[in-house]
Amino acid sequence: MTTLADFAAAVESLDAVKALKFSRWGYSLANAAHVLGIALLVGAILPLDLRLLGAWRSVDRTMLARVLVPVAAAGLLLAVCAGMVLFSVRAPHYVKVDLLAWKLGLIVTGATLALIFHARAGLWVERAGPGQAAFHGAASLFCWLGALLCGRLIAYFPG
Amino acid sequence: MKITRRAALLALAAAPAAAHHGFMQWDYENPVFIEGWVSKELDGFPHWEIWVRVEGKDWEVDVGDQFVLEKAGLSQDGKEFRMRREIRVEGYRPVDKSVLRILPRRIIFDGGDEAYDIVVEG
Repeated sequence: MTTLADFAAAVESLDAVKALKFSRWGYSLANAAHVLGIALLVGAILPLDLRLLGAWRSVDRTMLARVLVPVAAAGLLLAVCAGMVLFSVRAPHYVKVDLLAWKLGLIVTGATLALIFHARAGLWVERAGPGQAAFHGAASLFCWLGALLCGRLIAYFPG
Repeated sequence: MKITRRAALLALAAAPAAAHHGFMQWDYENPVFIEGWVSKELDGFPHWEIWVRVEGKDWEVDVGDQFVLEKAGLSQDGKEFRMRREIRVEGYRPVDKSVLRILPRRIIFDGGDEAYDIVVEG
């Protein structure tokens, strides 16, 4: 796609991005923020998804969601913002990396399913029936663990 | 259990990707060199690479990081790697010879006098 390549080239040529490429603190902190965002997102969503799938039945699901949903959402926001910064330094290269396309697809899918789930079952998924909970719990695990795996593999399968 | 089944499916999905492009292994048995000119200036994080045009093809030369440049006596903004400057890079190629890349050990500019040893520790 010519327009995608043009957009990527424009991003890479921004003065702030050029400075970031040579900034030890800038790039490493963006990297650390990305890891922190992923840690918060996956660390929060995994226990919530397992609870939705039936683990820890004695734990009140709504109360668990009140803690874990905001943490997961904050983690996603942090990871996306830091991710855009990391993307910018090699934007023309990254738009051609298949694993990144898969990762972004999984993120969009995961986020969309989460919005649908919360729209139907409530912010703390208090109205979720068992079938609904199981489906969204499993789908969420697949999307976010899948995104994490794709993201980590990018360094090892640069393509 | 749902978890292990999903993990197995993910592993199966990754297998074709592994067959296509393995992790980088260097051919330390056969030191090589390339001679050409700088076709893309030094780029910073994450890889600190330059590109060298050799017989019409671009080769990637990953310097590694800022400290490697510093130890070699090169500047950290890449001013020695001017576009179109003549360059000779001695080092190692990946085991997979279809990849046009050099792990640099010595960089010599303009045909001789200016030489830099690239030392990567750890």
